[in-house]
Amino acid sequence: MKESILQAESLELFRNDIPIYSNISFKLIQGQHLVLSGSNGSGKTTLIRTLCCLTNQSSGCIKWNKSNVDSIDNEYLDHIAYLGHKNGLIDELTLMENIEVTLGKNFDRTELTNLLENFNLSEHKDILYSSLSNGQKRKAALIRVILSNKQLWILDEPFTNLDVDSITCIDVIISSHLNKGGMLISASHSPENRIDCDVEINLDGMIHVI
Amino acid sequence: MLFRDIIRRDLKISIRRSTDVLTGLIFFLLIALIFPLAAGTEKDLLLKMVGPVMLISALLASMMSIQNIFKPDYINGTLEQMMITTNSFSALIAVKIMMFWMIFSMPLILMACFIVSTYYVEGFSMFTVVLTLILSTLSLVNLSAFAASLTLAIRNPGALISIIVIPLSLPIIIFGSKAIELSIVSMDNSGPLYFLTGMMFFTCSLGPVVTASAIKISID
Repeated sequence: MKESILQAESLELFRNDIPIYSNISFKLIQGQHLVLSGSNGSGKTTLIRTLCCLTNQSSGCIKWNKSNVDSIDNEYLDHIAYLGHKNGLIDELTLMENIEVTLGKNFDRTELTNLLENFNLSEHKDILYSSLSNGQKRKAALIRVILSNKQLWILDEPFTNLDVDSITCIDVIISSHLNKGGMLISASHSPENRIDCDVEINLDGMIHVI
Repeated sequence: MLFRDIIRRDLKISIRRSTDVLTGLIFFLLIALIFPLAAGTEKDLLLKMVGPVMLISALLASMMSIQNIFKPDYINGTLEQMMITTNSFSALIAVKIMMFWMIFSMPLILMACFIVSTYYVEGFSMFTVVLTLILSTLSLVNLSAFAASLTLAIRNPGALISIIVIPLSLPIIIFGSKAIELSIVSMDNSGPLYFLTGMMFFTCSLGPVVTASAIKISID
């Protein structure tokens, strides 16, 4: 993978003069994992959305390979795979159809078969997404991220609704992604559901009024 | 996400969620058919009514169906995923609006061909009705999509879409009705048709851009 670096410089976001997060600066290089931790309402999701260009920050800037992401929008977006609270998959399509319409034809079919087997979803691949359980839906969404072949994964509470086996399996996949030069930003509110990280930002120290 | 993936996806979804489209089409059919039944069989009156009735029914039906153009994608997070792609978000929205027009308005125009015969419209005027409906539904769908995007974050938009769309669509309804009326009395209707074509190009070019911006604000 190409040498890449993600930097955030003094990111701040205010809504109605209330700080959602403030003074966030970090540097993430290839093979590193950044964890955003903090209690509920501490601004993890909003910060993650800012890093995906879904929410605009009030001040500060995000840089990808030393260029401001606002000026190289597409080049940055081409490298990220995002999983938010919403899984981003469609109820009316089957699991397989969902993977196909979101990734097109550009994914490794053998890898998909392996992932489906590891996540115990092989028998459910032709079932409507709406019929799956919440945990199975989350696993399907994670499969989309894994197969997207993007360098930077941005995951918001990735382990919600997942069983222990699946969490172990994803831990292994994430380690291999990082070893291959990938980057990961994840948000988590519970310390037990956390993969080893290189950088941690705790958002609890800031003033948050909900 | 590529354009062809969106086309494939929207076609599949509309087949599986066919009640959404069918409800709108049946609504159009009922409104358009109820006028000849209620107004009697007087030919002159029906010929005078056919233009406004067709356009207003098409407007009401598209306002009813358009509520689901972005809402399910907003709820399940697909719109967010569409924003994080290298494709232009406005272009993706334009494809979605055109898909909605093909899936909903094309069958509606086809139905209108048969319905207008109950209004004694025949021959060349029937062609004018179809042409007027093609031009005006393209504009109406873009206007309605814009209203749908503005009300995206509201749980029950209800009549809000109508309050936004109806005033904006007045020129299309007025000129569309005139185009049909002039054609029925065998007069030159090129003026209103030129206006409708202009409106069509205006809404189709600007509509997706404004709609995409409104969606971005709703998602922020």
